[in-house]
Formats: sequence, structure tokens, C-alpha cells
Amino acid sequence: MRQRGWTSWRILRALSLFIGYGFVLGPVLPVVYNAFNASPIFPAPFEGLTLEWFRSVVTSEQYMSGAIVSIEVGIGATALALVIGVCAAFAVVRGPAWIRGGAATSLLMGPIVIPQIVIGLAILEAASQLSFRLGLAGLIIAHAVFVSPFIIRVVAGALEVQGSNLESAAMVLGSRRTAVLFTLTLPMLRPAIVASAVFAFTLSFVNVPLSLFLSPSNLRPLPIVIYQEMINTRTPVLAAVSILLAFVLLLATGLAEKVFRVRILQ
Amino acid sequence: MTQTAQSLTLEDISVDYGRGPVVANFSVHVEPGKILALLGQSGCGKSTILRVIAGLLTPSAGSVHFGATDMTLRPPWERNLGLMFQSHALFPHLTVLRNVEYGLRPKKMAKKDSERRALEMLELVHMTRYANVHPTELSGGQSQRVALARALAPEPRVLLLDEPFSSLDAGLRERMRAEVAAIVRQVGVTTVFVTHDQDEALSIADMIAVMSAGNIVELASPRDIYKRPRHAYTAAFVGGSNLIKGELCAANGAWRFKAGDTELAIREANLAAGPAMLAIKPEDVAVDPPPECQHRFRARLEEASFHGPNQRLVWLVESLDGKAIVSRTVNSQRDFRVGDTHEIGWKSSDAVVVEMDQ
Ligand SMILES: Nc1ncnc2c1ncn2[C@@H]1O[C@H](COP(=O)(O)OP(=O)(O)OP(=O)(O)O)[C@@H](O)[C@H]1O
Ligand SMILES: [Mg+2]
Repeated sequence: MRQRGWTSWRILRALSLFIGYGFVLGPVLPVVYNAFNASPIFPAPFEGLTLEWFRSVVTSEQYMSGAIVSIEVGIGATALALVIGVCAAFAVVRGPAWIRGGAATSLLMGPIVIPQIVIGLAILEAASQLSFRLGLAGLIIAHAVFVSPFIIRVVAGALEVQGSNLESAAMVLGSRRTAVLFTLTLPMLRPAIVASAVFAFTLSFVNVPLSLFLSPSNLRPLPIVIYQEMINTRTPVLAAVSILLAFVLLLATGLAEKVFRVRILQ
Repeated sequence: MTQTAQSLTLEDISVDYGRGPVVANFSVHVEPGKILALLGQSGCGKSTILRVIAGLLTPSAGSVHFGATDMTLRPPWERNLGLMFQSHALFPHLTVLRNVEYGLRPKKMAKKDSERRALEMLELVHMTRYANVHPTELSGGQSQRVALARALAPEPRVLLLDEPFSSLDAGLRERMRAEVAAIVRQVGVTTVFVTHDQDEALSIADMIAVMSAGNIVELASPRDIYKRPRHAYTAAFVGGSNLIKGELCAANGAWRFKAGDTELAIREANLAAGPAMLAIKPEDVAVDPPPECQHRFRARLEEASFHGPNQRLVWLVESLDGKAIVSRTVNSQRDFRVGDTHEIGWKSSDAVVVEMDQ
């Protein structure tokens, strides 16, 4: 049985589903079928099924070393951004009045709103003027700066919602301020911290603009390798590596969910 | 456990959040093992006082003593208190058992001992079955009891309860009220209890401090607060007394109260002669009163409303300058019709002379 009067709502819901999924996933579809397409040109019409391109990715020294650099940068940047981001979140939510609130939070969103190409170029120029050689560390720092606003947003939000009532209760129960931080405040923030860390790692892993300027020629992250391949030779290997990358990131997120017992994807 | 109970003394406490004083010159003393209720309207500074006692807020002036020890500048974790927030504030990432155990952590007890103590406390509040459940799965009354167990587990010197029952429905509230009162008495801990519900204060407390605008209007036993209030504010706030404005005079060693054209004989008054108010509880106002009611008036019924077992009647009394007097009587076969004129009255011993509000 169905109640009357819901028709327009049902149409709207179906429409939003179609628009939402269609526009988000639609553009990805050609990549998917090209990854399994036998044609040696990318992109090309469908010619037959093959796994050849995936084999090429896995055996490619270039892609594999790119992936390792990306993982190193991703982990380093995420760790650094977590320290920066969690500290900043506490400052924004619990700091003195002049540092607290919307204006301060907006200011800390700076790295997101300034075009990354400009940040990349500026860091490169500054480093060369100081005759400072940017290695892996430079890349990690730049990525950390870029991803920390996402961590600040999520962690500050959670901290705000959490309030200070529970901490007051804990202090009255005899725990010193620092003990409360480690037994209560941080454990309660764990889901927010883990989720934002996974998000930060993903953003760093797929980042192009910063890496483009700042990665030394012997340390190329995966997206840069893909970018250069794209300019030189267009083969379906590009599609295959993209699919693999998405798959690995999804897997890593799922693993983080299992290990840390938090919900990130839902 | 009783030997840990201590007296609590607040002296001239003032608190200012930056927009003028919220609490000014607040002083109170609670004997060991007694229950003090802070009763007052929303925003009068009740929670602020609790935060000062707990050390979550430093007063701008005044002192807090537990027994003879000055605690004014000690941090919360050195005060050995139990605090139960309005929101219960259970730690969501810990099980019920770990919540109760949390306060034992700083005591550096052996794990086995602290767990046993926590289980004992859960038994006291009948929550042993829920030891391994997370607080999000508890009902309001259950989290209430866990919060109480958690507050009592470290054997606090003083227990602070901030409107602990306000989030419960009426039936459960009554039951929890009785249960908590029984547990607190059994443990024998000095308790300060905040509420805006007069029933709650009257039924649980040894002493009630009626508060208004950051200060104590009146401090007395529940019986005196209800039966023998000294201030018009108390009389109106607790029990919703009728207040008749007038003047207290002494003539030939007898007290009389003059209101409008009427003069009433008063049994006793502990006020100086002068402007005052006469307070009468609605349930003491009788319709067509028996002979022992010495204060009698002709009155016209203005309004009648039904309140389950009771009916609330509003009368206009001409001889008191048209003053409205509220009576509350048990619903009987008798039906009063609005507009009818009757005689109303009360015993002179039920009329209390109170000080006018400043
Ligand atoms: N953190 C704060 N900053 C500024 N003013 C505050 C703060 N906390 C409370 N106040 C003010 O202090 C006054 C007393 O607050 P308090 O919380 O003690 O009231 P209360 O009696 O507990 O009220 P309720 O019954 O609503 O809980 C209020 O007028 C409130 O606006
Ligand atoms: Mg309050």
C-alpha cells in the first residue's frame, strides 16, 4: 500500500539520485572501460577485453617507484599535518577569545583557497633564493601545509560538538588536566582524527600541482609519473594505473576502518 | 564511608563572568552529611555556585572551605568531589564499568580493587547487569544511576548534583528522586543539590537555600520554607502563596495586619511593625469556611480550572481592594459557577506575615 501525496517528493528524490550519481561517477566510466580495452590507444572505442595493461603497470619500474614515493610523501605529510592540524583545532576551539571562532578558522583555511600552483611556485622560488635543496622533506612539508586545513576543519568540528562538560566531569573525578587530555579528549576525538587522516592521505596521494613544482627529478610521486606519461605516450596503461590507484586507496580506507574501528566511508 | 563526610563553607563568594556580578557575597554552611538544596529560577546562579565549589570556576572574591581546609585556589582534581551534571556527562567511549572506574584511576589502586569497587557501586544503583554496555545504549534513568555511581565511587567528601532529574519524565523522576535520596543518605555524604523544582527540594533536602539573582533570599529547613517563609519571594516561589499587601501593627501586645479597610488578628510575627505582606497557601483557603477560620471575606468567583484531583479557583475580594485570591480544593461533588458569590476564609494560624521584596 502507498500513501497518497508523495509523488512530487518521489520524483525529486529519483532525480537527485540520478544527478548525484550520474555526475560523480559518469566521467569515471570511460576510464574504467579503457583500462580493460584491448586497443593500444587511449582513449579509444571498445575493441575487446584484456588485463594486459594492469600487467604493464605492476611490472613497470617507473610506476612502482612512483607509488612508493607517493606513499612516503603521503604518510609523512599526513603525520605532520595531524600534529599541525590537531594543535590548530585546539587553538581555534579552546584558545583565548581573539584566536577563537569563525574568523580564525577561515584564516586557517588559507592553503585551500590559494591556488596550489602559486603555493608550489612560491615555495620553489623561496627555496632557491635561500639556496636550499628541496628533497623529500620539502615535498612532505608542502603537502602537509595543503592538507592540514582539512584536518583542522574536521577535528575542530568534533571538538566543538564534544564540548567541555565531559572534561570538567573528568577533572572533578580527580584527573589532572593533562591526564584528561590523554584519557578522554583525544580518545574521544579518535574517529575524527582517523577519518581526517585518511582524507588527508588521499588528497596528498593524488596531488599534482604541488608535486609538479616541488618533486626532484629522482623522486617523482605517482600522479607526476602519470602526468608525464600522458604527455609522452597515451596508452591504456594510464587508465589501468588510475583504476589501481583508486582501488588501493579504497582498500586502505577500508583497512583503516577495520584497524581503528571507525566509520569513514558511511 | 561516613567518616569522610565533611562540612562545606562558602564565604562571601562573588563571581563575575565579565558582564557584572552573577553571584555576589554568597555565603552558606552545610553540616557534614547534610543535604543542601539550592532552589531558584533559571539563570539565578545555581550552577555557578556548584562550579565554584567544584573548582571549575574561580570566584573573584570569597573562600571555599571543606572542613577547616581552604580549597578556594585548589584545582578540581585535588578537591575529592562527586559531581553529577544536568546532562549526566557519561564518557561515551568507555563502558559503564570503566566510567564508574574512571574516578579511581588517580588513586593508583590495583586494577582488581578498583574494578571491585566499581562493581560495588553499580550494585548500589542496581546497574550491575549493564557493566559492559556503552552509555549510548542506556535510558535516561539508567545513565542517571551510572552517573551517580561514578560520582560516589571515589568516596567524595562532597557530592554536587546539578538538576540531575530534569531530563526524566514525571514518573521516573519521582522514583529516581527517592532512590538517589536513599543512596545519598546511606552513604552519608555532604551534598549540594541544585534544582528549580520545589517538590524536589522539599522532599530531599535537609536545608533549602532559596536563591534569587545570585544571592540567598532565605535559608531554612523544608518545613519552615514551606510553612513559615520569612520573605514574600519565598512564599510566592514555594507553594505559590497568595500575597496581601498591607501593614503590620502591634496593639496592646497583639499583632494586627491592616489591608485596605480590613484589619486581621495575627497569631505571631517575627517582624518589626511596618509595611509587610500576608502570605496564605492556596490549599489553606477554604470556601464557605468552618467557624475556626477567623479571617473571612465575601468573594466572587472569577475563574475555575480543573487540575485532576484538585480544582483551582480564583476569587475577587472586594474588601481587599479587589485583590485576587487563589484557592485550591479537592474536587468534590460540589461545582462552583463563575460569577457566584461565596464566603472564603482561612485560619489565622495559616496566615504568615512576610517581609516585602526590596
Ligand atoms: N560562561 C558564562 N559566561 C557568561 N555568563 C554566564 C556564563 N555562565 C553563566 N552565565 C550567566 O550567569 C548567570 C547564572 O548562570 P547559571 O548557569 O549559574 O544559572 P542557573 O541558576 O544554573 O540556571 P539554570 O537553572 O537555567 O541552569 C546567567 O545569567 C548566565 O547568563
Ligand atoms: Mg544550571
